[in-house]
Amino acid sequence: MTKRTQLLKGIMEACILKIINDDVVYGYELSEKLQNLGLDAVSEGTIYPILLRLQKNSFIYSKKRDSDFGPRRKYYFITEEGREALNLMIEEWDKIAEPIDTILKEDTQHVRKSTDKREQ
Amino acid sequence: MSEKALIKENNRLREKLNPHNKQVYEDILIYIRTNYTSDDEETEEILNELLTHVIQSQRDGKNIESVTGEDYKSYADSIIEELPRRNLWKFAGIIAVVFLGITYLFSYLTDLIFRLIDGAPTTITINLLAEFIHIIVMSAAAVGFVFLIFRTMQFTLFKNWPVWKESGLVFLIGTGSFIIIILLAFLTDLIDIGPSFEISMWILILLGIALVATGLWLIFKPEKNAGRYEKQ
Repeated sequence: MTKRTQLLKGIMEACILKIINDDVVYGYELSEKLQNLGLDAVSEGTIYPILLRLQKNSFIYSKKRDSDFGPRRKYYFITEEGREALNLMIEEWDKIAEPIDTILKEDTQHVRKSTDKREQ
Repeated sequence: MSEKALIKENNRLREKLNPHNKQVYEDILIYIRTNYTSDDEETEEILNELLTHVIQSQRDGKNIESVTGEDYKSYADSIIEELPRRNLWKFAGIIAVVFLGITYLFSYLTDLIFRLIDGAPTTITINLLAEFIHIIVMSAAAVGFVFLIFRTMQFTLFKNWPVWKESGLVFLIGTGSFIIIILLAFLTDLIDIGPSFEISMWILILLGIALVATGLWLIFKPEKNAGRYEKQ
């Protein structure tokens, strides 16, 4: 799990930030959303270290609120800095998502190299 | 919520866990709490958040492993890694002040009582250099002692050791370092160079009381920056 988490860390950070951007959530809700979106290979608790880091970077902040039923819960809100960071992450992702998908799934053997031209 | 209120809440909510979840959660709790580099309040905040999460998972028929994964230690480490650091110097300072206070109080109090019974004079001669070195060495030793005990407790967690083995190791390391502290105290008292002066033992005992009181005040005073992350 630990090795996989390393790879997932940055991507998870962006996903969590996006979910908080779309709606105010508390921890359990957030993990439920991730699970329901299909990220169920990740343990639910993985969100907490990431939430701590997002708070440290002032991308999100938390506030305790009464919930509809049950105890007071810690809800997370996105900050202006968080929104900016999220936009940047989405921009970066747009640039790399397709090429990475191609590289990892398709056969790259036939892709032209710059040296091919010189050899001709 | 203050750190104390959070701990109280945690103690109350923890009873809702089933035996297995409770045992695992408490191991994680001790492991994270004995990590003396993390800020206390943030630590308690995240511990409570994790606890309410596990309780809710339990209601949904899931075990704590669905939250933490099977490797409890690396999960706890991943949280510690992201927790804000506390002011270690201040923390060490408080330990040193309390420990020095206690040693002054006890070593001179017993001595004073015997002298009062015997009707002996209650002033003693103190070597300035020896006393200075004594304070430095004892403070460092006390801080080292506390940190070592915390580390030992962390080390034994998640190992599924039997209780005798766990408490045995803590006991051995505890007594071992205690003997070293006593030896150090004895050695620094042997220093006999430089100026010395006479002082009433009452003053030293009062100093001890003042140090302990200061330390306790520093530990229990209300926190100023409560809810650092909360914005209104």
